[in-house]
Amino acid sequence: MNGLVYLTWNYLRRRPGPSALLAACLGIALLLPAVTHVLTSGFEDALRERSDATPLVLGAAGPPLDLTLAGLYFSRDGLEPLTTGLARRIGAREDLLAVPLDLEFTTRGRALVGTVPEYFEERGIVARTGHLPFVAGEVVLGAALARELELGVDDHLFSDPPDHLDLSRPSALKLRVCGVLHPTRSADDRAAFVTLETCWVLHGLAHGHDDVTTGTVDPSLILGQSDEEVRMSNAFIPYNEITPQNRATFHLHTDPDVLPLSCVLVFPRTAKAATLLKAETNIERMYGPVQVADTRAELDELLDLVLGLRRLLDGVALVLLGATAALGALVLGLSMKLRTAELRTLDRLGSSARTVALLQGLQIAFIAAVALACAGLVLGALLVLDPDLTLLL
Amino acid sequence: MTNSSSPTGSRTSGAIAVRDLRCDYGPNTFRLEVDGFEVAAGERVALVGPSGCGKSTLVQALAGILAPRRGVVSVDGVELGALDERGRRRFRLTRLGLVFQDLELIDYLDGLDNVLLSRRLAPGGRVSNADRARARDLAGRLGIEHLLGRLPAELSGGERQRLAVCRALATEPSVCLADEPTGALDRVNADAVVDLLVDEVARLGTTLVMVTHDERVLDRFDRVVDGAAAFRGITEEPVR
Repeated sequence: MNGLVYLTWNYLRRRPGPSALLAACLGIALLLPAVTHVLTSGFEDALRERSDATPLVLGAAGPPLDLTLAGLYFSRDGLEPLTTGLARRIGAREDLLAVPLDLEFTTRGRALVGTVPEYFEERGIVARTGHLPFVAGEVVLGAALARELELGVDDHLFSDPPDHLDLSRPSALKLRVCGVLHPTRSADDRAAFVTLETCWVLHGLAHGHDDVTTGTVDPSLILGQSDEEVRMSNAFIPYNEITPQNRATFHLHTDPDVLPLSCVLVFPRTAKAATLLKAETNIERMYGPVQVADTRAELDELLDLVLGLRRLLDGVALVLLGATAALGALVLGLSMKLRTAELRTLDRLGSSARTVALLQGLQIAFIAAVALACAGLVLGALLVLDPDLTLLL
Repeated sequence: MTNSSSPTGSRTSGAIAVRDLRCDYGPNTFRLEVDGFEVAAGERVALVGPSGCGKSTLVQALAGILAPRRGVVSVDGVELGALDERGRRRFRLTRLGLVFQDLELIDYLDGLDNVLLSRRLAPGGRVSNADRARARDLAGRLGIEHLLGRLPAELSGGERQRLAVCRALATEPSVCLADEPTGALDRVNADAVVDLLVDEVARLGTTLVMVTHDERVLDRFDRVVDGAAAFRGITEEPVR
């Protein structure tokens, strides 16, 4: 080992505290912009990829960005419902595919998305184990959600109770896990998917119960009866789980066309179809008080905000780096003063006049190398340990 | 008298010759003039004299730390005036052993690494197992082998100075220059260090020039040179 390298190594080794502190400061100053850059780049890529795959979202009038985020990321904040009838009208067009979503419910705090099989086809998602939900009462879990909840096929989980005060709705529905999806590194990994029929049960618009006309039900629960209807007490509890045995008893209590939806993902077959739908919906109001959000345009606005934030963070990181460099220079300067006797000794022994500069340079290089390595390791560990890190944004 | 080999392997004389030397020390405040000063190869010479007569300045000139303004300084067969600063540093690092009263050990290197410091600072900076073995052998003769793993801060003053002597002789130099190496030691330690230094240079055949104020150790030297009589050290007050 070169003499000066050996001296520098021993100097740092014998003073681990200050050296580690300097390396840590420098490492953090380097890590911050790197993490910001990696995360925002990943975030940007993920957003663009998802918006490219889903160009249009149809929903109730309101902020189009909210509608876009609802359609792409299952956010349901401030979203007014649509009707299934409207989705059916849109879906009847041959120049596009309409995929309805019901985002009203959650399970264990994660989105419980009601949809149709075409959703998985359009996204290219297949089940890694089990199968997609075919019937009411089945749920398929995103890969990350299944890992997080430690659930697999044939396990059960409950939907989150939507409103404890609304007695017309079931408090929670027990769902059977029918499959786990392949990881997609998208919002689908952290969601659970059910059929629209399951959502109707969760809305309280469909339910299943014992037959009240065959005399098998406790008569005290029957409040009134006519040829057309039987009025039951609230103590009469419908099924809170849909099983093969009771599935046939589930029935709707409303017109199928007015069943609620959160939004409709629209996959136009051509650019012309997309333009026509936007014009008919947003300009001609052919479908009533609804809108079609162009996801690319909306996310571009959002990305402008993100990029602005990144520039701000880069600026902050630059200031932090400058401050750390100034602090490091001060510490090195002071350490050189403390090393005056040592440097004089080296000088008198015959060491090169460049020794001082080389010692300083090597010390900085060692600390910078350690800081860089640590920052790289932390960044790598972050990305390896949680590859979905950008999704957390 | 046996000559030692240089670190480069070439046989060298170890003789010292100074003629018509003039050295300036500091910003025109001290001037040393030496008409003639010679030390034979392997000779052990003590430089004595009152403070300010130029003993330390002469040693610095012999070490190449000070460049002569005039005259000839030949050490171990090398005319120092003919070398540039870089050459004089390399000469000092590879051909001389130096012990100074205030020549501090490097506080973050253990004893062995301090002894091998000149080897590490030399071009290439490699330390071989043979170098380590030689250093341990020398430290054993100086009675400090058991201290080689310790840091200087863990050593007493006498032990530190013995370590400095060990460092000076570890390269088996042709010439060893010592400037009051015992100045900061008590009598017992000072005697021990001088005994060890003199015995070891005698064993190695190294030429020794040592500045000292301690008259009790003069009988250990081949010759004593009184700086007050041999040189002219002139201190000049700066002109306002």
